[in-house]
Amino acid sequence: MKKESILGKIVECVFLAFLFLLFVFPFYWMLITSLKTTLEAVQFPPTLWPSKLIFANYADAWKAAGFVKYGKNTIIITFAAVALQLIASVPAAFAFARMNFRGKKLFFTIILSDMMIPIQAIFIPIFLMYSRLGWLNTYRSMIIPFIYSGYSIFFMHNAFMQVSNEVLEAARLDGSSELAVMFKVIMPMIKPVIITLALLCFVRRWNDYFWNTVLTTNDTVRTLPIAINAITEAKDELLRRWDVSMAGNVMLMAPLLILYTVASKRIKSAFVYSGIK
Amino acid sequence: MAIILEGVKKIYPGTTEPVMEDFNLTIKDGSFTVLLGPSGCGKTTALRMIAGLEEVTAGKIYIDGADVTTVDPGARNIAMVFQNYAIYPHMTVRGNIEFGLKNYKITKAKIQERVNGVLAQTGLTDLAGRMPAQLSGGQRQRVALARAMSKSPMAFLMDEPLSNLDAKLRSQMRSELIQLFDALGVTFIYVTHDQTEALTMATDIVVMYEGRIMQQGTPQEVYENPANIFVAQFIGDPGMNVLKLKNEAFVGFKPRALRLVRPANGDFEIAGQILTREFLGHEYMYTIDVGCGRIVLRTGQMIDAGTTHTFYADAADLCYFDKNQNRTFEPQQAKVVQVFHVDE
Ligand SMILES: Nc1ncnc2c1ncn2[C@@H]1O[C@H](COP(=O)(O)OP(=O)(O)OP(=O)(O)O)[C@@H](O)[C@H]1O
Ligand SMILES: [Mg+2]
Repeated sequence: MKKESILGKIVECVFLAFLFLLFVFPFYWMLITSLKTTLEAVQFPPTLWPSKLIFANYADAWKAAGFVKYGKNTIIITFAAVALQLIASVPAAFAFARMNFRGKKLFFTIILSDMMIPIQAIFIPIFLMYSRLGWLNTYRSMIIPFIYSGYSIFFMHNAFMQVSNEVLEAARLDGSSELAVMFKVIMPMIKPVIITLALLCFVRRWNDYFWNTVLTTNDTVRTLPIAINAITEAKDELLRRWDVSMAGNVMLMAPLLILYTVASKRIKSAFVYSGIK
Repeated sequence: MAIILEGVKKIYPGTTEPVMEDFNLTIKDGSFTVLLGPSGCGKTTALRMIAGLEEVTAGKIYIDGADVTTVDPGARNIAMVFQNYAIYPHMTVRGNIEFGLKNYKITKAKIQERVNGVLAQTGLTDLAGRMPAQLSGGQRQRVALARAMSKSPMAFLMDEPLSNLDAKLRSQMRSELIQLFDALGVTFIYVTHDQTEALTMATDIVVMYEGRIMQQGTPQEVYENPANIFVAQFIGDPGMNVLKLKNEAFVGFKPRALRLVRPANGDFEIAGQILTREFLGHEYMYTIDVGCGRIVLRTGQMIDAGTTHTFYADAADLCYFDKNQNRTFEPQQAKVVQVFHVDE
């Protein structure tokens, strides 16, 4: 019995260590590459630690990727899309989960089926539509399509369904309007879910490559992922500058890591108090 | 304030069978009315319609003379205590009590005064800053009660508020509710399927079965004078033994009314064999096979299982019912044909 449990522990530890490496290694690779010389970055066999730390790569990346200009675009687009998406999804999900109206089932089915269509399957008509509207190379085209998200509505809907009906009824008996029930009772109760969703949505918009490439023909509203990617494509360099590109990626990721840390603290503290139904 | 349900019909959306139809109930001003009945008889439905949480399909609801059939729950001047407390998990005890008050036009100072008042009254003052997750079940129940009290409602509605508490706490809360009722002097409507709760707390009991009112009266009336076989068998622990007679009428008597010696005006006798004996502490409960079914006897006397006896009942202890199962006061003398149970 005891032997088995020790063996089980070892297997568990090995497995977890394996998973840890699987997830952490790419980040480690990115980090060390960002500190190598251009030559060492492409050297074979690769080194696991830079022979010399080149911090100047970060300054190069900052300049090469146009962090100020594209960073501004990224920030505007991400914040606007996340905020508007939440503003739209939360009430929509509340209505689907907690109110009765005609056509509710039909609309919900449409939303669910929309979740299953990959964007790659429909981007050509969307591109044509936006180009006729004259929306190419605008913030509008980067933000407005993301106000609606079937995924977000579905995600929130499930959270709303979890909340005990009686708490909402108690709030109604306490004289709350439906809006007050939503804002003052149900939303604080599912705060961890809202934070999680905001985070997921933020990461998706922040790292978006596809949409931003498709709907831009010049660099007015291009974002950091594209600018950073362009570093390695630069034609006038002898070697692809993986070192600089990785430095750019580290800087692109940094805000996300900070956000994760802050959010996960918030999520944990919110869970403590939503434990009872 | 009196509450009246008039010709109320309720069909839940998506179903076809009405839960209740032509339901008429008057709840007297200042009464502690208990809706009592087996699971699924429509007690919660009736309560929720009074609260405005459930729409009526047809009929009217009056509170204090005003037709509130379509009035919002928050505007009916009532408070409700739910079975699972339904306190706001993200607010402190104080926050829970304040929340409702803030929705009404009351000054901040008044709110604080009231909150502190009910906190003291319910013994929650020291817990005011706690979150619900840090409270025991009994304390949460108290918060729910305090929240209801803070609104100084004209009526308190409670749906099995004690069923999640352990036996000791339940009996303690029972007596606290009685004290609260006496102190506030407002109408209480209390739903339960536990007759001990009903008999101990109520001034008025409404016995319900399958969406109908079987009897409404004081606990004594309902206990001593059942209006029909359903009530006779539902009230009591266990309920009355009811025997079907040859002329289609019925005779009933409580398990404690049966005796082994013929009383002075013994009006009823039946022979039977003791099947089982259960010790209840202060007395025994016996199951007796009387040939056409089983009846129950409760007595302090020790009788051996397997023995056969003749059992008697005093004329004053007998209740008669007509063939529609309603109470009749004409004595019926026909031969017993069968032991009868309403819900089988
Ligand atoms: N939301 C609903 N939709 C459909 N039918 C319902 C709904 N709520 C209750 N019912 C039905 O209505 C009937 C009465 O239910 P109700 O909850 O009022 O019973 P109850 O007397 O409170 O029972 P219990 O003691 O088990 O709480 C039951 O047959 C139940 O199945
Ligand atoms: Mg119920």
